Amino acid sequence: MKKKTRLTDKQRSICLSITGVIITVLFLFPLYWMVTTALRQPGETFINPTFFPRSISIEAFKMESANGVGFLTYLKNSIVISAGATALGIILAVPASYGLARFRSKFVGVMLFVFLVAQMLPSSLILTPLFINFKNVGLINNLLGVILADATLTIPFSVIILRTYFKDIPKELEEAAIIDGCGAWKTFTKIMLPISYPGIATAISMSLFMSWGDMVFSLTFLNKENLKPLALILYKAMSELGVRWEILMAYSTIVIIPIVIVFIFMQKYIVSGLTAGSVKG
Amino acid sequence: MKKGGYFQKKKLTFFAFVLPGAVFMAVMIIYPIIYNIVMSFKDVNIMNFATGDSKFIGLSMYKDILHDKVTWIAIKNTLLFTVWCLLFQFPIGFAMALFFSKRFKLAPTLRGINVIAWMIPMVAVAGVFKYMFNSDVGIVNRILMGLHLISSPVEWLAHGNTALAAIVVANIWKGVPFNMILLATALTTLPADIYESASIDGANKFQQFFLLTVPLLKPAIISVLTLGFIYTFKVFDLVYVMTGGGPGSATEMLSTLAYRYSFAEYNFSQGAAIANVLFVLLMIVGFFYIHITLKEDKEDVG
Amino acid sequence: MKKQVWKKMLTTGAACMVMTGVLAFGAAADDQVTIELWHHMSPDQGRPLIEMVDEFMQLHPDIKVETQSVAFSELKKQISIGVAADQLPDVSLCDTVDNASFAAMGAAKDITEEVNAWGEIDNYFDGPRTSAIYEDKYYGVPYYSNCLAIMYNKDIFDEMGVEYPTSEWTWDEFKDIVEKTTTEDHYGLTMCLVKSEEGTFNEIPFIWQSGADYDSLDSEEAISALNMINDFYQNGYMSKELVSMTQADMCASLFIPGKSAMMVGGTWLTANIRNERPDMNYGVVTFPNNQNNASVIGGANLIMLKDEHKEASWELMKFLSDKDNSRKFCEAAGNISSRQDAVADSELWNDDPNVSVYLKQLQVARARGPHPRWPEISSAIQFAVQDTLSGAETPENALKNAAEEVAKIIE
Repeated sequence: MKKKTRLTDKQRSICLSITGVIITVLFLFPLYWMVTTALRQPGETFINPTFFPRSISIEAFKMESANGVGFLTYLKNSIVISAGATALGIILAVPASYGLARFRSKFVGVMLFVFLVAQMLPSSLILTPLFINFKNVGLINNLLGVILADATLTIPFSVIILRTYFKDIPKELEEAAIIDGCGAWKTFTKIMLPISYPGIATAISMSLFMSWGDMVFSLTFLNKENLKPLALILYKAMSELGVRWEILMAYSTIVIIPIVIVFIFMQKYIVSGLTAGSVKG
Repeated sequence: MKKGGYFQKKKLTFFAFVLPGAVFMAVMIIYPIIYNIVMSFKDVNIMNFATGDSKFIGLSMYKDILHDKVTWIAIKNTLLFTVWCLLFQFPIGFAMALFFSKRFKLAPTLRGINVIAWMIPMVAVAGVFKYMFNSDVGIVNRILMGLHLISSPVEWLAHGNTALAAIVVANIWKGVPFNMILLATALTTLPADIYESASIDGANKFQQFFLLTVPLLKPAIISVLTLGFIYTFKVFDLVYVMTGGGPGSATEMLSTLAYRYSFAEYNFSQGAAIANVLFVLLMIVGFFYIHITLKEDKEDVG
Repeated sequence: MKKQVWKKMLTTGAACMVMTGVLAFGAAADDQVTIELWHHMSPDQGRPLIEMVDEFMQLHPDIKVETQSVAFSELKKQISIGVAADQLPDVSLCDTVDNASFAAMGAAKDITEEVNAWGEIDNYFDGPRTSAIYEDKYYGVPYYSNCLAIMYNKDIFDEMGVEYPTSEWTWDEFKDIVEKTTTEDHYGLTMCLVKSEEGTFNEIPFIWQSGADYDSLDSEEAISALNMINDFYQNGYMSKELVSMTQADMCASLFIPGKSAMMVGGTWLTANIRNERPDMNYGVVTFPNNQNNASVIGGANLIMLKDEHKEASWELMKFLSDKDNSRKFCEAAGNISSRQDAVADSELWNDDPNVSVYLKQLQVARARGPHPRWPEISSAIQFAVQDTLSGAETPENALKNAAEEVAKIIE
């Protein structure tokens, strides 16, 4: 009796897909608005907005180079900073979160505390002292300084995400390996890492995007034009160009395009990891 | 072999895993924390900043800021902002996680696409929302007037409450996919067979959700809420770029206030004291979080 | 398959690390005497400065100047952190009103000897010159000056049948015209009300005209000034967006497109108009008169922040301050030279019907402060205005609070 009123799996899938598309379109409207504003004629943003640009123009995308430093340099800096902060973050955070998730020790609380406290520090509290420290070791106007500072954001974040993740993986596999005589490190690299890649992929992508978007650290630790990353250039454009919305939105679009590209590449891993249920081993 | 026995005994191995990360973090944060505490007990201002001969004033900077109306406005704003953001972004994110965890063809793709909002740098989010909430040329007013919800343009960023609402909306937009993806990750770890036996036992969807899903996701939910709280509570870029704490002090947060005292008015001790207040308030949540996570760990063993 | 993915991720990670290492440590050292110059000008206005620096380097092949542009709103932070960490540029531009603060903070160096030996300082206008003095010593050299006056859109005035204002006009006439020129299509007035020094810069001329000053903010006079601004704002004679717009923003989005009949505008905005809408039919008139005729001086000073390359730095400062260079830069960037002799040479400043009004306005323009703790005083004024406009306080209360703040600061 119930079966008659039920949709077939296929119909159900189509209905849900349509709903899903509507939700997505509504949700991502600000992005549409950003990109289409960037494509408007200079000056069009001073008059009442229309949903579609009155005419398409790429005038706003002509990024001015300052002191002969241009888009490619900013892009390179952004890549170095986010790749560096992510790599450093993952190398330190993955073993740490595994240790915190699995081992029983009275120090678990203390260690966890350090990571938690780290991400509670307001940026205005860190800026001056870190600047002084970095200055003493030559990390001002050095991308490595920003990488280290960004890692203080990505590490605690990754630890907290991955710790939950590792805890949800049944212990039986590792215990079997340990009984077989594998050491802790080998068990971790041979058994745990392979089955936890979806979680790690999530942590990697989030770290990438966190450090890509950082403005406060690079604003404070870098003032040489040839070291500035894209997000900082966007911020600078905002304070210099104010209400030239089409230019600002063009800068924003430029900042997010690499993110979207990387995301499309990473999504395969994240999504497959999320849906295939591979975590269950 | 006794459950958990191995992981309890290997003390050194534990340190080998955890110490590199923990030491790195400790090195990066201990100096800033001490620096700020010391500075807040002295009177470091523009006149003695370089010479360093500022005098020790004990707790009087804290006494001053606690008597200052602006401090309380900032605390109130920070709390209001955080509560409003969490109140919306968590349920919306959870709903979207549940929806996109259903098995339909576009689910993985669409869920992925929505996450893009979370990855947009805060500066860009602040910029696009500032534009959308502009009273003269913003699309928000235009849509609301088109729907006849308002009759004349609202000056969103010019009034206290509406300015706060605008930054709350911007933050929710960025926060929703963050909630969604973490909860969706957790949802995939739930074993399907529990639901099967539950529906055999006659539990309906609501009961399944509140009696099975929520308790099973508890660790993930706590993580998401704590992280959400921390990131929302210390919000800086968004407010700094969108309203600068204005108009007046209507959207002043503890973070923007600390920044303004230190770097716009050169009242470094005052800035340090406010930053410490913010830090302590965050730590209260941190202790709460550590407390419940550790309690859970113990229950796991027992 | 999972293993492959994992391997791929590891190799990518390793590659990232290597790349980071290569790029982060790749910078090479330079043997040349290199000095660093910071400025806070937008790309348009910075260009003439950078061209001039290039010219300087050609004349002095032994000195290399690296220019860095720092956002106006960030410069104070960069310099204060720089002091804490002993990491400053050799030379920087700074807002005139911050010169005393930087001197008090120990950031700006005492260059009295150099200035006296140079012997040109007497050619400067008094207002800008005093802004570089702190405790009777020179901590900077004025680079450019500007002041505010009222710009008005002649087309709108013609269309409304309102006569152009003259330098004799009063507050009552001003209020009357602001009200009259407000319609559906345009506001009567535009002025910067943002919560930063730019806001104070626009607000304080009215306080001075009323007869008050920063140390008498709770007086009847100051209240009358804030009441006038508040009435304009609440009655819709000004855009509500002005509380978050910089001067460049409001000029670009309100005055240039014809959405405002009048604007409190600085000299450099004439250059913005020239670039954006060269055919705009506008005029400039001095501020309306009340108890006083008053406007405000703005601009930037060159300050020296390091002793290390003192000679090279001073060489650069002298070159930029040279009479002809000063005139050339100021004409291109829409500023008034701080040097009387350079202004006297300028056709633009003396003959252009709009620009020359500013020169007249400059005669009654005053400097803010100078006070080492001006940033805090200014902040109190900004809050009084914004709290009033947003309806959080009455003008009387807002100014009473501000007066208390200021009293604490200057006691």
